[in-house]
Amino acid sequence: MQEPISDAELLKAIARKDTAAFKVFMSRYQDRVYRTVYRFIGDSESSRDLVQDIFIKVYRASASYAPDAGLFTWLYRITANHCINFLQKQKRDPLYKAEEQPVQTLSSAHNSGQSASPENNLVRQERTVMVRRAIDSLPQRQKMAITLLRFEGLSYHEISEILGCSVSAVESLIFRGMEALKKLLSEEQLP
Amino acid sequence: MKCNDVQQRIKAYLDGELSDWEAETISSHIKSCASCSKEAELLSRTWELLLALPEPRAVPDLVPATLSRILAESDKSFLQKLAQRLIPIPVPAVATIALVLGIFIGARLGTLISTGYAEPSEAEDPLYLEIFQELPPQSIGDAYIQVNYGKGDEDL
Repeated sequence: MQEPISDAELLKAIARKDTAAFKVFMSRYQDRVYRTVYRFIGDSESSRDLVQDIFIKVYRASASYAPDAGLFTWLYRITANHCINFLQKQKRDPLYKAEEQPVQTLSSAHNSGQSASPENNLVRQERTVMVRRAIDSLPQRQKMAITLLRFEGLSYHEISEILGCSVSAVESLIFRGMEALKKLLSEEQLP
Repeated sequence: MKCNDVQQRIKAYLDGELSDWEAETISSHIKSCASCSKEAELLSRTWELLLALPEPRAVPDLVPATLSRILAESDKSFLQKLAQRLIPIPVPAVATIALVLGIFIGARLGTLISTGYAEPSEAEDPLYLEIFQELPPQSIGDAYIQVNYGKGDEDL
């Protein structure tokens, strides 16, 4: 059985503009990148566009990837920077009004395992809206640090490499973000 | 350890990011301090609330669309790319530059045509000097030479 080609080999091929190698690479990582982007952005349409942008950046930057650097860190650095830049640009747009952005919810009991009664679904949706609004109110780097910790299960050290800061800076980002969330979500009458 | 210091590190403690010694110190404090114990509980509950954020139901396959964009970009000709780079230069700025250049060139041409390409002579230009000609007596240049080098310096 042939061993799958390594990520480093794929990136070398992509640097030579090998689109077949690019397809393999993107197929390997698009799910994970999409989930992270979706958690961070909260909107499926924007997430689809951003994931494409991210992998196009990977394609263009593949020649600069150093094999001794962690691929995951490199890929996620591109992902984090692109998402943060996107939201910062969106917020600077005079036509953008955060409070009017609809919050996407799921109306199934998929996440909680509870029975899908209408009351439970409504409660869950309300809670999602409140949590989403709270996390969206955080500064982008705090939000990204918390997203990577909570949903990717990364360590503070890994997050520090992705965000390009020290471990203590990550701890500070997470502490401040959680303090803000704790205050916001305790003030809300959470269902 | 003071409560303020402990509370700043409770999250890192809950995330398993502290050294054994630090974790033990925080743990002992939390067990004996009602305020910090409550803080730890609030943090844990807030952390659990983040699970309320939904996962995407289905991850779309974005490979074909991404590849199309990449291929479309690489199909652009060199001239198209060059044109795209030049487009941001404002047209009025280019027009202004062209106008100024035109005036300058026109003025020079006019001068050349009217003077018949004649070199300015001593009669026309009081400051006219041939190379290595002596400086006019009692001029600033002459005085400088006198002061620094004295009379009769043939090299000058």
